[in-house]
Amino acid sequence: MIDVKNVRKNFGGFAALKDVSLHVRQGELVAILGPSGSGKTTLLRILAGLEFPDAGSVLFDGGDATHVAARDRQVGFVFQHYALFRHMTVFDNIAFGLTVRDRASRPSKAEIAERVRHLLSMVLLEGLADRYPSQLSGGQRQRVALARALAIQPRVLLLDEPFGALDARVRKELRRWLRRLHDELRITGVFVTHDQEEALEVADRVVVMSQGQIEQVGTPTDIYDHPATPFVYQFLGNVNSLSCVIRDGVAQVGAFNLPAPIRAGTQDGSGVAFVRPHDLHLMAPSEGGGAAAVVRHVTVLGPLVRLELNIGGEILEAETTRQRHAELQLAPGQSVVVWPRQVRFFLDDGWQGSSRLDGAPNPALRAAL
Amino acid sequence: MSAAKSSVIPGFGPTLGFTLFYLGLVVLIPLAALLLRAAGLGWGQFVDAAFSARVLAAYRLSFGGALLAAAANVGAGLLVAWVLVRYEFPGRKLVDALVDLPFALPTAVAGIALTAIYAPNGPLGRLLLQAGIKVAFTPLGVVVAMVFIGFPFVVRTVQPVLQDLEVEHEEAAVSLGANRLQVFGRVILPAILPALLTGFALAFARALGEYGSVIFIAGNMPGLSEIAPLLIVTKLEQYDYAGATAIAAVMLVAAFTLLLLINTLQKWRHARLHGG
Amino acid sequence: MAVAAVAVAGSQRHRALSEPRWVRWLLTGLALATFGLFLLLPLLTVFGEALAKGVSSYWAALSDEDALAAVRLTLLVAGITVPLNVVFGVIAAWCVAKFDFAGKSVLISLIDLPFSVSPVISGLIYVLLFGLQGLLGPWLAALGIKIIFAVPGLVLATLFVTFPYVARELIPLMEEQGTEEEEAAVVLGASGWRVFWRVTLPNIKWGLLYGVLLCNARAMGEFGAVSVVSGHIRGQTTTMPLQVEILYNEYNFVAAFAIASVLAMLALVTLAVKSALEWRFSKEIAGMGH
Repeated sequence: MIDVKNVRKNFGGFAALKDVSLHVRQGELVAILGPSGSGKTTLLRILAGLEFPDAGSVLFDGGDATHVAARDRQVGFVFQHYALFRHMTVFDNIAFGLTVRDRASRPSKAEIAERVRHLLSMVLLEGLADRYPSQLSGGQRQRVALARALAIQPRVLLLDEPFGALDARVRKELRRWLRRLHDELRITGVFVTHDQEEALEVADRVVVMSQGQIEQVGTPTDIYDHPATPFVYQFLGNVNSLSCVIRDGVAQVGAFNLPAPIRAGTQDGSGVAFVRPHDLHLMAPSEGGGAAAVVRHVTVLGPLVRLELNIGGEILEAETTRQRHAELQLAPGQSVVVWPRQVRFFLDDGWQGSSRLDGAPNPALRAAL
Repeated sequence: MSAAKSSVIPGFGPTLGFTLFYLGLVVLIPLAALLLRAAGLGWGQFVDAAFSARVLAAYRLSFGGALLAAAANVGAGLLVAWVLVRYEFPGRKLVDALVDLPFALPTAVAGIALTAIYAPNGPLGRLLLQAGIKVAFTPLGVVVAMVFIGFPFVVRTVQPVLQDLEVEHEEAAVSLGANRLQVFGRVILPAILPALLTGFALAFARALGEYGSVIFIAGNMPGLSEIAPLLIVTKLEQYDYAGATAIAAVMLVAAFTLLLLINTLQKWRHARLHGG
Repeated sequence: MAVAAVAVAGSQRHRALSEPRWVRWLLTGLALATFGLFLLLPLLTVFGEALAKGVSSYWAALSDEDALAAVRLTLLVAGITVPLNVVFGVIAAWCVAKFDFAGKSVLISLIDLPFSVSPVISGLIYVLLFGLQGLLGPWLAALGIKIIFAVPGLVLATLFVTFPYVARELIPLMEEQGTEEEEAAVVLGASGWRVFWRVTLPNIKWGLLYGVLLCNARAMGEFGAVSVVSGHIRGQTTTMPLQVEILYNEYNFVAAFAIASVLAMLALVTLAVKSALEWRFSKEIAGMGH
């Protein structure tokens, strides 16, 4: 269990963390997700004791660890580029944390060998004990780094961009493998990533960070379906961002005139609205109402078709199926009618909410178009 | 995005303290003592000692000889670096390893060897004398020794730059219709120019202060083939501490100015290589 | 960086980017002539002159009492100065490479300072400090301590000229290696000493050896600086390069070149080991070798 309370950290004049608080439950695996410069790695390094906060505190299992030195913290840390000791074999790398203990608490040679063997089999690297790091593939190095971190039986496991340095195929395999390993070990874990897919797939809960602050904490489904801020919405997946004005029950979102979302307080306002590309419904001009658009560009991506549309001078991205693409015979220069199925509003007065607009457009509005 | 340096690695205070202590003891305090002593001479005495006719002649030889030698080394160094990087020939690795000989060979050894070669009865000296050229015991001998001692600098600064030069740039120039000389003059030369200048400055600085390899071949005739460092030694042997200190102070200021120049050059090189 | 020359060479380059054959031959010939004239010839001359009067005179010159005393003194001076500068070099490199602090680039420049000081001046500064007319001279004389024209003076002058070698080699190497491995060791519970001995030192050992090699070559071969502080007392304050000078000025050329040949062999061994290290461990050695 980890508690971070009101942590601040500056580097020179740059505020890397601005009042960050976070609770990580016993045995859960949490992803810290954010773009570079968001403060996620700084937060992880503060948890490891590699940096110390300017203000605030860090608690492990309720005990204050803010000023405990890294070497006494009993955390397992997996570095982004693994930081394997290049002059030591895989065996010596994994055994390092045990062999540097003082005589009183150091396990016997046989015990150390036994533990290393066990860890090697756990990370599926039996038989590679005598190799040097330079003789291993990226994925193997990553697993050695993990075994080395686990060897000291850490209270928490911290991973900095654990899959960042691997190629796409190995990354996917290791992702699932790490998830399974965590399910077996049930060790409290925190990892940092800038890849939303990685965070959503591996973590129990996701912490989204931006500019030194936490934007949202929630389960992967929560975060994706109910993003709390415009930043989270834009950071998770492709999205079209449109300016919107709400007046007299009509929301003007870019070129779309939509029924205003139902909300408390004053009705009129303005802000931004987001529409995911796959929520843009495409129709032939004869099929229904919506905004008129011209197809600018068509890209076929396997089962999906991505389109660039010009709607009233604004360029939007839309996604549709191969089947729909064939039905509409979409090609550059062709006119279509577009209707957003779902829109998420973030208004300047702080109100936010979604409008689901399934089915045919409101007949009353159709007249207005 | 993480901090470049971490605060958890131990030992900052003690190592910095020791470094400054040792640096102060071995380098800074002795150098300061020299400058202090020079400052204590008084202006009139200092000018008399540092700029007498004999001393001025020595400066002229030291600076002029170093300048000529460094210029010669730019040509020779570029040639050797070019051949080492671009061409394959038997013994290339041996040549590459021996380029550093002037760094490794004690200067006194180099000095007597060069003297033996260029003396009137030496193998090259005899030949050159027949052509009417006297090398040993003349200013020309000083320059020859300075060329030897500065030889590795240009090679070793230019070689890595030449090595890292992108082939694409030359290919681009060729595809745009440049001939080989144009490629060299307009693509390669500008790229290695900062390295050439740095090598020149390093060779110049080394030749300026050089003592061991020069004094044997120089002949050391006052006003003709006497270099400034030798004059310092001579003054010291005559127990003229003020004279030695004054000349040393002038040479030291020149050396530090050069050091500053070299550092600026290297920053410029760095900026050109890595942008910004 | 001699490492550079190991990689790509002419044969692998495109025909379009290569000079005509006669230009290549001409340039290679010119380069080899320069090399032969300026580097190879002096080296061969040393050995040629040393053996000019036969092997027996050569051996006689080397087994001379004063020559042996010079060898012993040279070994003693190097034996004191090299370890001191190794300790300093490692500590200074740790401080500069592993931490960020204000004035760091100034510190690096100051460490490099002895490289740009004339060897003669390197000796002179100690004469001005510890000589009879020096700042501390009278005080030392009263205590009966002799530094100038004695072994301590030789050690100090050599210490000064060899001061930057190890630090200069290690700083770029350790900066390039970064701090991640040390951080990993700390997180795994290692103390500062253990981090150094078990993680840092094994990573820099070849670079360190390289620096020691160059430092030692300079320490044993230094001439100008020790010449100023030595006083040239035969058999007592005469190192090998100084002995070469004494013999040469006495027109005892065979003996002078005999001792010079030993120093030249030291230089050749240094270059050979240096090249071997560069060839074998290029990644674990940083930058230019001087």
